[in-house]
Amino acid sequence: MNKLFRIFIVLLVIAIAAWGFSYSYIWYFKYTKKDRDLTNLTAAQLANLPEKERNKIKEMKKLRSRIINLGLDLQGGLYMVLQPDYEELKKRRGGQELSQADVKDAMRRVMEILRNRIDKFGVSEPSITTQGEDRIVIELPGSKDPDRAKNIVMGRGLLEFKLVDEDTTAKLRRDMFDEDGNLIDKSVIPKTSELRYYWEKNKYGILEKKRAIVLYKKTLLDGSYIKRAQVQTDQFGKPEVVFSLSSEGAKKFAEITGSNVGKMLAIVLDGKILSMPVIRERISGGNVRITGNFTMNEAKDLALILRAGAFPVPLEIVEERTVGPTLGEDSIKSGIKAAIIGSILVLGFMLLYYKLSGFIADIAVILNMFILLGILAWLNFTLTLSGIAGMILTVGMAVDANVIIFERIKEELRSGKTIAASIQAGYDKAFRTILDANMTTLIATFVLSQFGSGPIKGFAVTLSIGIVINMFTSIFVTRLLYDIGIDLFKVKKLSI
Amino acid sequence: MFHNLKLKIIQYRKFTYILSLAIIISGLVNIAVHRGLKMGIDFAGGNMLQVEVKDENIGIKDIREILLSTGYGNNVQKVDDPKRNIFILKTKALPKDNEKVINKIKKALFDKLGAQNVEILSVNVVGPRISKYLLRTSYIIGIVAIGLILLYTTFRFKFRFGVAAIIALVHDVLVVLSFISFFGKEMDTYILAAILTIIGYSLNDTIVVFDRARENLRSTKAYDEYELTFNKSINQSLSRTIITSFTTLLSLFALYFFGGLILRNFAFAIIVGVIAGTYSSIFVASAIVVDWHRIKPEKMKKI
Repeated sequence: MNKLFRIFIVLLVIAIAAWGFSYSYIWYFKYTKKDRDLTNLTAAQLANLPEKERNKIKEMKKLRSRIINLGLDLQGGLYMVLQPDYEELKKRRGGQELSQADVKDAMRRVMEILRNRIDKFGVSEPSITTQGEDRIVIELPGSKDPDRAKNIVMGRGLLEFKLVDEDTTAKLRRDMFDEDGNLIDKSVIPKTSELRYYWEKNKYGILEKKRAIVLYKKTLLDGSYIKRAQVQTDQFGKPEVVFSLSSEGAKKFAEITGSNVGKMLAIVLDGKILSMPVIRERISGGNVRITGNFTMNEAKDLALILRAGAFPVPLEIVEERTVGPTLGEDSIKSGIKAAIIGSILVLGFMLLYYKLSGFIADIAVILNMFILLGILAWLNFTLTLSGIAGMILTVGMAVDANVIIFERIKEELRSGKTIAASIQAGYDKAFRTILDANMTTLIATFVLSQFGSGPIKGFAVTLSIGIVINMFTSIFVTRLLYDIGIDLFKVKKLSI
Repeated sequence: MFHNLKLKIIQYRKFTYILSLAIIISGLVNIAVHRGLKMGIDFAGGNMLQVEVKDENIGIKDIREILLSTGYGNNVQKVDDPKRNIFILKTKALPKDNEKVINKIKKALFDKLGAQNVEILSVNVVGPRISKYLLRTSYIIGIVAIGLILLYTTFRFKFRFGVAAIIALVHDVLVVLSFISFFGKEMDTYILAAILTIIGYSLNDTIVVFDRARENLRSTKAYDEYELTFNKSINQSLSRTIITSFTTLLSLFALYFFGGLILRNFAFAIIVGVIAGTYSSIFVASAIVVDWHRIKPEKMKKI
């Protein structure tokens, strides 16, 4: 091949990589953290911004789809695997086995509601996917408040109105409960009633049972009648959730309130009592407000859950991995540190041991990393800690091909061949060995990237792409550099 | 540095066979005594909290007591970090409602140590269904990977070379598992990734030596030169084997010492694997091919 053509190919590859990586460079180094956070605004928040700002954010969002993202182990966040619990749905159908269509339909509803809730919650790059038949994988990288995100995702959203069984509630005494707040003798509760709790967040923000209340089991009205839900502040500036019922719901609600004046009505969400006002009068018009002990964010989240609707089946967390932002930052720092120190050691050794030839190999390794980053950017790849590990290992293994070539060249030189002939023979003889050797690693990493999940996948993908690029940089590029160097400097003695 | 070496490597194979067997057998005994490898929560299921305590005076005993008070066992480890006070708390997974377990432990920690002194670095919950699924996928990954590699090596080399390479590979994996057991490390998805990387690396090393042997054998005519040819091939590729292992180890040690907690065990497993892989490509794989030839000679090409 013509030398100029080879130079052209190398430059072309570098240019494509640089192009791919440039977006990530702008994203991470030109924009500030505050700029980047703007892309997490929800549609409602965006609507309030001036046109110019909005366009800027639109541009940034486009940019974001072309960069290397950081995985949630690097920026903190929440990873959850959920599985629907169909038992309850079965029970509601009177113990009847669920058909395939029922299950599919429930799953579709669940996914729809989840997407709805998460979209409106506003996190960067949320991902909701299914795994296997009935597992749902949710990834929310960078969510600053994992507990809040978890509430949004996990809240069933089942709103019920029930009357308080005041007589039984009055009979409850503290010594009837164990230390976890469970009733010791359950026979106290009549068959038509059930024990529920009024929950409150403790000072650490963890929900705790505050008061035990007995409710009549009968549900008078449920959340399926809700038309709209929004957050307002009352006259004391406290947030409250206001929702409007459909006309049918409003009629029902008027009847319920009309015939139960003076009684306490509990508003129950997912089995937890939110609020239990006393009914003062018949309420028509279908506007209901829930005042409770919420913060603004909690009220917003509640309105969001009510708007998005209730899951048809309860979801169960089968796997959860929460990474705090501190740990994520630590991981990035230590990952980068290890990468830099590892690279310096390897590149330094090559330079010391193979001198100028080592320098050529070093250029190949650096180019290898650069092209790898470029390709990862083109793939809009999510870099995880294990991905960084894959890159670090790539550096160590990338020099292998050049070591094999250089050792061969040395042998050829010792046998008395000219420099050009030695280089030619070295590359020729080493090629097959390098190909065979890399193939096996490639097979192992390929299988890993196909079946593996989470950390394994990130590692396997970076390592396998790294190895493929390595074949290009360590053979094609170094050979070109040799040829150019020998022509340019009329080398008499090879520095190897 | 290593040219014109004439080390009688193959001749020492009796000694190296014994050494390999000694490590693997004691490793397997150790694994058997502990009733299998220690499984991390990925494969066994469980709850795990990683917690940083800002008060230096709080030690592992205090944390263990707090965990005991919640009724969820006493499995606490202190993370080996001189600058920071980090603990890992583990409990078994309940079939449902692990949230409750986590919240109870969090509250106990906040109550006893003060919320401002405790930072929850990470929470991991792996339910029993997921751990079973992960374990099953891991077996599939392992079997498929080994199957494909076997296919490739038999396709590229003679059958006996392929078998020797696979024995060397199994040797390396067993050595790594032995060391994981010796050092009381836990199996998790990272270690699984490490083991598969080792499989790739081990073969890589073996193949480089075999490639050289194949080349040299073409000009070998006599039966008794077989051993000498192998010895020559090993000596010729020794520089490369040692230098590549060395650079790989350089980057792995950087990962081990600076890559942070999560990657430390991963780096540990690959370090052991790279050393074992380098050793086995010379002393196990090549030695087996030579012995195979001694018992059942390969037909030499007449030139």
